[in-house]
Amino acid sequence: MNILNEMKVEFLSKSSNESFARITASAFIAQLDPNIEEMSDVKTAVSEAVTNAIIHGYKNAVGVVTMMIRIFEDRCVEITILDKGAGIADVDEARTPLFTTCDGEERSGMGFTVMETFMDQVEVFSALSEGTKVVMRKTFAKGN
Amino acid sequence: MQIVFETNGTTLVAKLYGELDHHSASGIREKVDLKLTSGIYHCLIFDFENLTFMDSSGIGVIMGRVKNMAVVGGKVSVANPNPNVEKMLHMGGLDKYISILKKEDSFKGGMR
Repeated sequence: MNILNEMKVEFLSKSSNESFARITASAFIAQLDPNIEEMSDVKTAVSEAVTNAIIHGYKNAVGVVTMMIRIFEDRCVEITILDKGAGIADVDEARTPLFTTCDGEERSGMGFTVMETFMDQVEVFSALSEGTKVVMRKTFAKGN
Repeated sequence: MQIVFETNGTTLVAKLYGELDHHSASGIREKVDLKLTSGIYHCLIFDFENLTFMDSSGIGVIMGRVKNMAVVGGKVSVANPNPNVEKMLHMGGLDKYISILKKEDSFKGGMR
């Protein structure tokens, strides 16, 4: 499938950049004219992945988070969120609903579950001390 | 993210304006908990009419308050979530622990 458009942005792992990432992603995918629900689903999935990179990848220390978005000919959007932080010891365990390593912080443990529910496909690549890459895809409904 | 409080007897209404994510969650949590330390409130209502976005960080904030209020026998409700916020509430299974109140509910009788 041909790539129609592509973008990449890097930002510091500061929590104030969670909204920056959401707004940037929604501005880029707006060219596909998604409906309100599709737009909201993508914003939420991006927010979860970027929050994970900040809290779990860099453990609230300063690092660089990379977001790449590719738009394909068939209205499929592929969003990659990458960090070079701690990595995940057991990806399957991390993807289990309600699993969280932050007991004191009131984290819901729903991050990956939200990504999986709101996107069509979520792939997670991770290695300890090297970082984590989350690749999410969603195909938008045909435009009117 | 802004928060405005209204009180009515033992009910505390927290009106949220803007986006509730990991970044804004800690401030909201602190402000609500400060209000609740008085111990006079038995009902906490999060009014989400002006909440434009919420991710799973919001589920954590609400669940934390549900646990705190349960200690004093109180309950937590969410009012007027937009469809996307409501989707998140259902997905987190939060609807088992809270009531979701909608503006139109109170109008139903008169509108028919």
